[in-house]
Parts: sequence; structure tokens; C-alpha cells
Amino acid sequence: MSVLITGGMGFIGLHTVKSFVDAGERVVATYRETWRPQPFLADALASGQLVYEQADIGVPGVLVGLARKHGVDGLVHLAIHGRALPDPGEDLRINMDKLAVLLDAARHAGVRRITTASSSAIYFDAPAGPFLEDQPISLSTRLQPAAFKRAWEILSHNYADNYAASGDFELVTLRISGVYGPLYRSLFNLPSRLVHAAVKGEAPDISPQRGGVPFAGDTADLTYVGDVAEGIRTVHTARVLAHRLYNLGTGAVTTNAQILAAVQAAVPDFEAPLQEGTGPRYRADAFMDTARLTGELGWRPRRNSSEGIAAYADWLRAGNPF
Amino acid sequence: MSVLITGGMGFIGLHTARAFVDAGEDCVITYYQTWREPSFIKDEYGKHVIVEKADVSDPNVVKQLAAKHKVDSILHLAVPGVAALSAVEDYHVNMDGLIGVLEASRELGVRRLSIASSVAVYASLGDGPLREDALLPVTSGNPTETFKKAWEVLGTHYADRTKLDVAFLRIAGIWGPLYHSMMNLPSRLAHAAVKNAEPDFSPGKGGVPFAEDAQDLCYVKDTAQGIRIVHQAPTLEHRVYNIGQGAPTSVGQLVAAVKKVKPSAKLEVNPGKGPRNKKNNYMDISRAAALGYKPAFTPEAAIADYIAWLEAGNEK
Repeated sequence: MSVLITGGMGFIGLHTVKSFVDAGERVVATYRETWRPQPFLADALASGQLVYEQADIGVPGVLVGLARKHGVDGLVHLAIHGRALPDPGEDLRINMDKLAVLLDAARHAGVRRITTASSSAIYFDAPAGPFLEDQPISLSTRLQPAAFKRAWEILSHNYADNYAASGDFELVTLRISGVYGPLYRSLFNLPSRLVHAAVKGEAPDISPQRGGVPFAGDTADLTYVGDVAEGIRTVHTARVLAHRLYNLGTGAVTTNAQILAAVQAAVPDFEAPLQEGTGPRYRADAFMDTARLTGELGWRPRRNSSEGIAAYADWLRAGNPF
Repeated sequence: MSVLITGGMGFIGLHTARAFVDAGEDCVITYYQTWREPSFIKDEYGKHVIVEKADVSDPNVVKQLAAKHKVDSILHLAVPGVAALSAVEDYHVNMDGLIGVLEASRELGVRRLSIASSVAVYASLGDGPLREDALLPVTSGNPTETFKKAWEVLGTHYADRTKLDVAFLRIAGIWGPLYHSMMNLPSRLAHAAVKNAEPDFSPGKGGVPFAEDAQDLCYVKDTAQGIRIVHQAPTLEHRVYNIGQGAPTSVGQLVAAVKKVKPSAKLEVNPGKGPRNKKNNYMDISRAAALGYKPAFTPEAAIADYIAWLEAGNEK
């Protein structure tokens, strides 16, 4: 068994590479620009179990060439453009054409399964949770990630049908929750900002650009990155899958008050302001139902928010910048 | 004023071009492979209707044509033929075509881009009426449903982001002169009656229909008016408009309409409801109606009109 992981130098990508390596798989990982070697991958790199390839997989032929060169039988697609490109047509083309690139690579390189990352942003305009894989959605959205993920999913289901029917390969999609933990760089979500501030002994960034002072009762579905990585590997390596779409998250909400308490447990004396109650964008039960993944494949996150945040604080205290 | 109609030499495209010309607006229509010159419009070719051969999946082609003819709006009706292409080719033609018309419209600053969507987006829903704001699953039953949903998601998002005026038209089951795939029932019934033959009720076409099954079927001349009315409206409150009959037409109604014109027609259908019968299986057209759209043809009048067209010697 061997797998090609796109976006293998990204936040989730690095952890996913590690999860496959730890499970004894041969891994080829791509990255586009930044070489960000991690000590926890050094042994696998030295032994050749893990190979990194610098590649722009958006260029036709590149991905299929790599898949053939390394004889991989699976693709895990995690590469995304981190930000919306300024040109709206280019943004659309670059994001959507990756689907055709993946399908071509799978078809011409004999790949058996493609696992692709979608996101809980799909559900952002549902009035309340829990969110189920099969629930209908609106076709109209202003939010760029939601629009692209929705279109991507709509299209990939069509190809999943097409190619599954021909027995060529299967395509499975994971809707991933909010993710926090080591190597997260944008520091957009709250646990990351609080843990970074706590470990550095600084005041947390709760500026208006980051959403202002958080409400104690507001919630998010947040999963520790190591658990997400194991979830991705669990789905990708499952012998048989009963579905083509899985929610991947904690199956519960974490309140901002819980996050702060967990950070304070890891770093005593840390303080951050919270507002009472819930904010204007609060939604009840705003988490993804993960019964499908848990029931079928037995995956569940190993760390609750306290354990995840403690592990994250340990990582930063060891001197890692992110 | 003039409009570029991609796929304008197609079945719906030619009727739509006629509707625009009748309303005083010139058209540039594109075709890819198939040349058509039906009697109702061929005299306008080279006058109020300019014809261009074009592959609209080439991102620059639409922009070049729109600029060359100085059109002030674009109507995107072109689609690859059903099952004509491999899955990946289908992806490129559909998606590159969409991006091409979006980019051309934005860069040239056209007044409006209207894009054909389809009643197929509602396929997964149960009983109707079918409304534009219905939530829909990401899964689809066929490529048309897939691509129209993906087009709407990306096209409306693009409109939000760029302020381009984009309208999606969810078009019902359309039948009438020039219809060629013969998938929908009224076309098969009318053709069979004119040829005094039995209609094609083979399993590939859905088998023998049930008299009480109904769907939103719209005569192409009405559809063309609906498309024109939404496209020409000075301002639009919505991004998505249903264009159809706004009422269910049953199999029994169609059979009766054909027999009224051709009493000897051999049309035997099943009585009652079929296993996939849906209640109120029609599109709510109140959004388009508020702009002045109102289908003029009853199913009976439309069948009579269509049969007269076929009997005048028109092959399709």
C-alpha cells in the first residue's frame, strides 16, 4: 500500500503524513512552495518511507506523472489555496480544475481510492445543528469556501457515480470540522490564539478583526489536528466504505468558556476576557453528527478539548514557533 | 440593444432568438456543430440574427464574440449533448464554458448574464410545488442535475463577489418544434400521431406512462418568452427564476389533447398513478410572473400548434 498526499506540507497535511507513516505506509507527499521539514518526519525521510515532491499539481499531467512514478494506489487530496485569489475567475478555475486533475490522475495511474477534504463550512448557513451528511443545502452562498466546497462536492458525487459504476476507482469526501493544534499558522480559531498567548505570556489577540471579545457561550466544533489526521487515514485505508461522504469532527460542541478553562488548566494564571452569554451568530447544536464515521469505522477523537489543548501547549512550550 | 445567445442555434435557442427579435432586440447566436435554419427565423439570418460558429468552452471565444458584436448582454444556453462526452471532457466543457461566460461578462461590463439552469435541480425533492429557494442535496441523479447545481453555486457566488448581474433560469421540461432528443413525452406523442405510428414507450424512454402522472412541461414558445422577459427586465430581485408552465400537465391530458387533433392516434397508456408519482409536481413561477411572464399556450393549444408544425412537413 502506498499513498500520495497533496498539500503534504500544510497544517493538516503534515499530521496526515505522520499518521500514514506511523501506520507503516509508504508515503509520497507534494508541496507547492514552502519546505517545512518537521523533526517528527525525519526518520521516515531518511529511510525513504516518505518522499516529498515539490509540484504544482494544478498543471495538467503533473499529478498523474507523480502517481505513476511512485506507483501509488491511493490519493489523499488536502492541497488548497489558502486564500481567495484576487481574480474571481482565476480563483474559480484554479480551485475547481483540481477535481479534473485528480480524476485524470486516478484514471491513468490506476489509483483505487481518492479521499478529498471538504469542510464544515458547507453547513455555515444551516440555522441549527446537528449537521447531517445528507441534509440539503442552499445553492447560493456568499462565503467563498462554502461555495467552492459545495460545487466541488456536487461535481465529485457525479464522478464518484461515474467511476464507481465503471469499477475504476472510488472518490470519498470528508467534511472536516474546525481544526486546532501544532503547526496551525493562521491563528484564526480561538484555541490557537489563546494557547499561543498563554505560552508566550502575552495578551490574546481579540481585536475586532479576529471577531472581538468572545462570548462565553458561543460554540464551535473543534477537533485536535492529530485526531483529524487519524480520521483521514482511517477512512482512506478502510477496506470497504458504505458511503462517499463522512463528517469528521468531535460530534459535539466546545464552548469558548471550556476552551479558556482548558488553556488555564494547561497554563495556570492565564487570563482572557469573555463576554457573558452568546453572540449574534450563535446557532444551537452547531456540530456535525459523526455517527456515520463512528458507527461504520469506529473512529472517534482520542483527545477531548482539555487533552488537545494541553498537548498543544506542550508542543509550543518545547520551542516550536507554531 | 443586442444579446449574445450561446447555443442560440439549439432547440430553445432559436425560439428564444425569435422572441428577442419580435421584441425589437437583435441577437448573435452561436452554434458548435449543427446548423439549423427553421422557417420561423431563417429570414432574419444576417439581418437581426447574426450567426457565429464557436466553441464556447474556449474561455476567450465568448469575450471575442461579445466584443466584436458590441452586445450589451449575454444569455448562456449552450450545453454539450447529453452523454456525448467522457466524464472529464464533460467537466471541462461545462465548467470552462461557465467560467468563460462569467469572465467575458465581467470584463466587458455587460448589463446582464442569464444562464440556463434546469428543473432537474429539483429531481430529488418529493411533492411540489417546486420553489426557487428550496434546499437541495449535494448528490445528484444525473450529469444535468449535477452541472446545473454546480453552475448555480459558482455563478451566484461569482455574482456576489463581482456585482455582475447574473440570473439563473430553471427551465422546465420543454417540448415543441425542433425538439430532437425525443426524451419528453409530448414530443413523442405528437410525432407518433403525425406518423400514425405507436409512440416509443420503450424502457429507455421510461416505459409506458401512467395517465395521472404529471410534471411541469412547457411549450417552447412560452419558454422563449419567459427567458426573454427575465433577461430583459430592468432590475431583478432574485438570482434564480423558474421558467415553466407553473402547473402540472398530466399524461392523460396530453393524450386527450393529441386525440382531439388526431382522433385515430394509437396512444394506450396505463391508468392511474405510477410508482414515482409526485403531488403538485410543477414549478412555482410567481417570481417570473411578477415580471410579466405568463404562459400563453394551454397543453391542448400547444399540441395543436406542434402537430400543425409537423404536418406542414417539418421533420422535427
